[in-house]
Amino acid sequence: MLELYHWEPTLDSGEPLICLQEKQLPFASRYVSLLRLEQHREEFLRLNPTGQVPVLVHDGRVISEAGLVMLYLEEAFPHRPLLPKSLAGQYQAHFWIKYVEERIAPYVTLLGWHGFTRGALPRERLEEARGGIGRLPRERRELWQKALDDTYSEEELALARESLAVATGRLERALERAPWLAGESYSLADIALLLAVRALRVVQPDLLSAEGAPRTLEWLARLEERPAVRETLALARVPAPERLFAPGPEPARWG
Amino acid sequence: MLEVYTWEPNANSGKPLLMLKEKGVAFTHHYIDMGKREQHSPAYLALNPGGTVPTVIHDGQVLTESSPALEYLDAALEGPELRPRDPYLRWRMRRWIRFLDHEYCPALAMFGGAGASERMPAQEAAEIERQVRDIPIPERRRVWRLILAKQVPQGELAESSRRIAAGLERFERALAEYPYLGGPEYSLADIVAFITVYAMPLTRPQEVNDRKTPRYMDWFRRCHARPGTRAAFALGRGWVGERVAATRKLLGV
Repeated sequence: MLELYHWEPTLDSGEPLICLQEKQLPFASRYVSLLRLEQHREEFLRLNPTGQVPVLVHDGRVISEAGLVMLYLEEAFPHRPLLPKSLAGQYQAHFWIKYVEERIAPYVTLLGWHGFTRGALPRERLEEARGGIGRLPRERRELWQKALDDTYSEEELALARESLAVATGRLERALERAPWLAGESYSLADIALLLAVRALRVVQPDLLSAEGAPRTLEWLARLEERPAVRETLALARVPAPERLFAPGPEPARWG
Repeated sequence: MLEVYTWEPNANSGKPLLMLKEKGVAFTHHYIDMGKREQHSPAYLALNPGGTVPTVIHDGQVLTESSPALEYLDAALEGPELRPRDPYLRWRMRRWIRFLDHEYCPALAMFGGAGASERMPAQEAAEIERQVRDIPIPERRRVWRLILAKQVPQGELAESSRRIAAGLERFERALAEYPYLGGPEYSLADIVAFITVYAMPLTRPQEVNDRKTPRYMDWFRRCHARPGTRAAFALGRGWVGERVAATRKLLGV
């Protein structure tokens, strides 16, 4: 029995959702509304004390962290493989999954929350959020506190933008060398980056111009045509979920 | 053909050294002196444009991200397997590696950086900018700017100290469930942890000791006693050897 606790089909919940669709695995969907702060309720924190989705429960075992959930699904259900056969390709897939978590997701969620989501939330919701974060471990609590107060420094915002510019350059160069991120075949790396790039298109559209990132745009269009991707995106419960952000992984504190 | 471009058997730079010694695989160690900032030299950047250590080259395949590189090497090379086969235990191993790479080891590295910073000569701001200009990753550039300017923030150091202490409970809990971090067997999770924390009984005796962290101490003793560990530390040229010797003496290994 597979159960997936997830939010909208965006970073990070969309990663295992697409993976499950690609592998055609039946699963029980447990929707956790991040806008209603359901991830900070006690029942969810018993499952994952950091208050982060997605969480997979497989025969009672709890598997957390989007990229690692995808790798788990791949190894527990190896049919319809989503990793290349070659070790070089597998290394690339591991590399990109980590890259999204460390160098893209923290910044895209920071800029997205700061620029789009926070201002769109009703004041009562922000006040309500302050109550819930008291149940989080200190690191997550401080991350949320900063997000709710919107006290990002100019240096932090500039570093986020600069890092995303570096990341898009790196992605474009990788796609000049091969049609997919892990080489000749579609893989978990493309799934992870697809959702990151869809978020980036909202947050920093200038980084994805036809002149600056032609390969990335072509790759994105190719991915968005895949049936499993279309079906996953159609699971959205709110209009334009790609414009919604919740504070994500913590930006690296020391490089 | 296996070549490892790296610095001391310490933290990220030591990961492939410890791992390859555990596998018992022959390789060439090209010493990159981080004290002289050789990892930012044009020759090294041509090899690894990110300017980070280690870089591993296996039959022409260039590996620059150390934890994914360990998974690749474990699958590609002869020797004992260092990843559990069970998917759940493998997740557990990777969850530890993520925690170490993203949260725990950076907190420890900040103290290393602050120590190096104190030993730095005072320099003009323009000179510092000239030195960090060629560091390709923005987050790394920020770190080096803080080190060179002798401005590692005290508040961030205090937070790192808190996290290091809090992490001790996590080690102790995990080692109550299984003898090693990833499960019943020694795995890449232990390698990634140990090569960074190996001297903690020496450097943080108030927090890491037989009374407060008995399972963690037992794990230190088992890891220090491994032949692969000894062989990896023997590759050190500088201060690592002294720290290891003093830690072993304290542990009675």
